Amino acid sequence: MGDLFGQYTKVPPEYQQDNLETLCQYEEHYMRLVRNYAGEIREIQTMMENLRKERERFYRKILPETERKIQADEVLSPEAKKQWIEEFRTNMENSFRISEELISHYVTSNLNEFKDKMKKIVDKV
Amino acid sequence: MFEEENYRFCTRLSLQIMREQRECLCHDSTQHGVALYTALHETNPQVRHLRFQYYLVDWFDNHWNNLRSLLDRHPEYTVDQKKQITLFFAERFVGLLDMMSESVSMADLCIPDLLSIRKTILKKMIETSEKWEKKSDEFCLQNKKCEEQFKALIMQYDKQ
Repeated sequence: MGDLFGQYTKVPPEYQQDNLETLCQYEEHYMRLVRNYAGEIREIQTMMENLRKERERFYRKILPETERKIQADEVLSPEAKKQWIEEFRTNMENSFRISEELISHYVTSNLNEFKDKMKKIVDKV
Repeated sequence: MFEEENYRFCTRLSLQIMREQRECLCHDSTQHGVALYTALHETNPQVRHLRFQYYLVDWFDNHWNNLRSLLDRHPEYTVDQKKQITLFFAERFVGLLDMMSESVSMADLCIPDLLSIRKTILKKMIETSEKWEKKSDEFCLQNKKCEEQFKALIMQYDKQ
């Protein structure tokens, strides 16, 4: 199976705690922290879901519909049709990527804050 | 460093602007937007190329115009909040500009410094954050100048 868990650093023995009370305290603090971040977690989920749905709608409905309309236009030249369909797809995808990055930065910012707070709790426990 | 609420608000606002501009692009493509379909129906390839550049740059600039207009509609935001929102958006916006410069329609720019000047203004805005208002005005002025340049170029071709 190889070194499946190699990426996880081992906790040095002197830091390992098998005391039940300590573990319960840790879990209590952790769950309280998760509850405090519930709003952000929901917000991120909504942002990601909205972007995913928008992107799906674009590729399933809007882009094919646009291609059909443009191809059906007998006045437009083939070069113009090809150029616009490509530009439309490219610029929409670029915009989706920027939006994804925005959400990703927001997630990272929250995650770093969460980890900092967890570290403080672990140090106290 | 942003306060948590400000960061969330800036993210939400930026996502809203990006989504609204995507809706504009989709609307123009599906509902025969005048500027776009004028470009599409252009028979002269050089003029078509010019019109496409004009359309795309205008679409790009409207992200910024949208931001300014949103901020203007909220006089309750403090100057500091407006500054944070503007700089936050500018940092992400530069990414869109970089992506745009790689597109086929942006090859052989009809106005040579069309994209580079925008990038310079945005980067200076981010670097010298205290001059953000001045740089934001400069960006809008550049948009107007560019619009006039495009119209003049199109008129030249129309006269031929």
